[in-house]
Amino acid sequence: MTNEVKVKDSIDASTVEGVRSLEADKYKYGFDSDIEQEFAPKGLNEDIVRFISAKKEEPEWLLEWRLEAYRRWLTLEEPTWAMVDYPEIDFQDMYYYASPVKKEGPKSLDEVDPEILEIYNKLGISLKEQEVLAGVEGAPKVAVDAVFDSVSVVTTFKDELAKHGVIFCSFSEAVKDHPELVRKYMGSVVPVTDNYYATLNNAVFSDGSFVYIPPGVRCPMELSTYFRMNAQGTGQFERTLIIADKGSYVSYLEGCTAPMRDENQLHAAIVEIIVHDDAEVKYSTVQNWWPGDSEGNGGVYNFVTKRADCRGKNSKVSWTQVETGSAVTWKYPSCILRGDDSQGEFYSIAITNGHQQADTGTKMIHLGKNTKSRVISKGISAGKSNSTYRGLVSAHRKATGARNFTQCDSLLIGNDCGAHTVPYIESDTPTAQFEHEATTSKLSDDQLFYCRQRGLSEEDAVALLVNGFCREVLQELPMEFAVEAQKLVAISLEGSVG
Amino acid sequence: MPVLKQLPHRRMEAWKWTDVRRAVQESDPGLLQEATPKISDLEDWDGFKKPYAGPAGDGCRLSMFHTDGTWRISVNEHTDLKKPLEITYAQPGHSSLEVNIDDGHSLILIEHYNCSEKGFSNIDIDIDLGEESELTRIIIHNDDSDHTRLQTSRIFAQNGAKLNQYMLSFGGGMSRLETRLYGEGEGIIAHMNGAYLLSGNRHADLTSFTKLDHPNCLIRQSVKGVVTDKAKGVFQGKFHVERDAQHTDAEMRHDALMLSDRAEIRSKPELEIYADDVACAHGNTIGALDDNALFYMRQRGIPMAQAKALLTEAFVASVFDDMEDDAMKASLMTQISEWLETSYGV
Repeated sequence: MTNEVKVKDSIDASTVEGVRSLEADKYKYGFDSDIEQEFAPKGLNEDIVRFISAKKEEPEWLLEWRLEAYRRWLTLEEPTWAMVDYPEIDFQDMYYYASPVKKEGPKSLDEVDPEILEIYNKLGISLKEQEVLAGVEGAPKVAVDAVFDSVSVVTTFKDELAKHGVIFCSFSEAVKDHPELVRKYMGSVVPVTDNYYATLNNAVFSDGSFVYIPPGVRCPMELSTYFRMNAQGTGQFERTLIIADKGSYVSYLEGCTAPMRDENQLHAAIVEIIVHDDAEVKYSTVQNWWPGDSEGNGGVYNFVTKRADCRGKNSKVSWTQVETGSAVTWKYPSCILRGDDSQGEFYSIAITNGHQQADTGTKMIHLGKNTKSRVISKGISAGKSNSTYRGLVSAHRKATGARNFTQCDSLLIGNDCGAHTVPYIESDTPTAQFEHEATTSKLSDDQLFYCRQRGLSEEDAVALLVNGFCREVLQELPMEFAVEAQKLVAISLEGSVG
Repeated sequence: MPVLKQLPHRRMEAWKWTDVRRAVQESDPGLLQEATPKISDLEDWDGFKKPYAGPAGDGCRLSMFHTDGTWRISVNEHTDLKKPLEITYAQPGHSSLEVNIDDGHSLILIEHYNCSEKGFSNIDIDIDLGEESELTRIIIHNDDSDHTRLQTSRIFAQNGAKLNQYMLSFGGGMSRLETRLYGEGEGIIAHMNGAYLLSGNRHADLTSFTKLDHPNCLIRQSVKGVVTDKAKGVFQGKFHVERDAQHTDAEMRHDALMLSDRAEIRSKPELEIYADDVACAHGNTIGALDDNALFYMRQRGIPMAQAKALLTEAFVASVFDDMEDDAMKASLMTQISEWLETSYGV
């Protein structure tokens, strides 16, 4: 009993601290950390690609993979169809590799640079405490892979996971220890030349997480990767590969933050998920990259390709995302519903404030029979921001009995922002049933009045109503994240009233 | 510039489902020539063909390159005739039309697009709606199954103008009927309904774009589609609501029925909203006929083909429900029934 109370205490404390930090600053993760780091030379060319590969002591095939991708990238053009507007990116004016200086790869938490642990502490990710709490009955366990700029600094709970046959490690380790799995699955969901940013990622990807859940295993704890962009002038290019073998289940969380800087940093990641027969993957993201200051200076460009392939019969993927950060977001977590009876879900809240721009949504590609998908997207725009839902639902001729329900609602707070909806619907079979609904509205004056009448400040009232608007999505998040996300909803909208 | 190069193609976002360039061959009749429309009682409307002021150049509409002037119709105190103006485009080729409705006047415009031969047609229409004016527009489209048709109308509406548009398309080889409504004043009311019924290898694209710059406009749009055989139906709609267009109330619906395994539906109902105090919604559904309803009807002795025809007719008819001209409405419904009889073999 007492142990349980302890844990609750710790959660409450962090909530209290979180709320306090809101008063001090809108973006509590914006601190800069002075960590000794080594960089690749600035710019991008074949030598840099070779440099990254050599640094990571990669096998020849992976170097060839990177070089091939780099050459293809040179022939591609940056996409311009999204409703986002940003100055041209100078791909030669950034570092493609930055890692904390280390002697030997840490074998356990004790060997990790305490300064880095401290940074994660400040971010609310207490790696050490998690490990210590491992023995405490009833404590929520989350295994964390902490990715710091271009490298994974530590992965917790590896041993315990290994007992269940679960592989959870950094991508670089997976390349060394499980090359057969990496070679089999890497690039099989997002092809090397899928799009401009994915191709760039294939050339220069640094680190990321690798997850393999063996057949029939229900992963005993939540897996989580925490991405931190720290070094100045760097881009982050991680990739995540998750394989859920037959009948397995895993819930995976992803968090991301970056320091406040007046430069624009590029984040171009790839997430690939492979789901076999009867397996299920739940992927939750709380994206909180630095969104830039109130004048629109700085902020992260978040150009991410995320895709899940429901290869097996009766497989299921569920994407849940809370997008509050980044200056520019360009992201469409998608599901290829290949296996018969497979299911895809997409729950999203995208909140933009200040000068943020978000163009996000999903693709549900129905290929198998009786496949089902559900899309719930809530976009909230405030300040001078623009948020766009862009989605595709398609049914192949053989996808008989396919079902989709899409609902995308937008909320505008203030008269300098925009909310847009761009759905693409393609059906090639009469037995598919597609339904799509969208609305755009503003917060109701009556509801605001009602809340204020009962003594809530205007800001609290807005946060309450917005939370209500987002409830369908928030309730899909794992517990630990739901609390965090609700706080974020309030942070992002702070200052939008009045 | 060679004319084929001027045609839109699927690499252009707005044309990704209607690849006109691929459908047209250089030898197609009409590609380089002007078509003469048949306009009822031209002189009654002060109608005439106005030559262009200068040669066509960059940014000009396609018809201007291949015609020597634009047909011009005016509705004012002398020509507010309270009778419909009928225009028939039965020849392949390009044509341009301008209609000007003065403040406070009204017009019923009936457009027929029915070319019975292989070829290419491109019709550009500009309509000016003065303050408090009213336009009822009925468009009936049924081209040869080897005919490619582009029809683009731009409607510029001033304060308090009213538009009622009804479109019925049976498609053609490839066709795109596009309506672009620009709200240049307050309190505009527009109802834009349409239906497409496609069989064989036919293709119809009903695209619309509505841009509102001023407050208090009301837009209702409902498009229903029925596709069978290997036909392809495309619906693209967009509401663009600018910052000053507060209190806009806009709704868009597209519902489509697929009656065969090889038919295709493509749909993109889009919203682009910059004003915060508005209510904008769109809905889209695609599916087959309701099995339960079919079973119910068969149970009561109605043969399968007839049951399907009845359900389809009820589905489509709703978009023409509020048409004021009963005779016109009956004529549209007859054409729909005939199509259903042929398609279902009733």
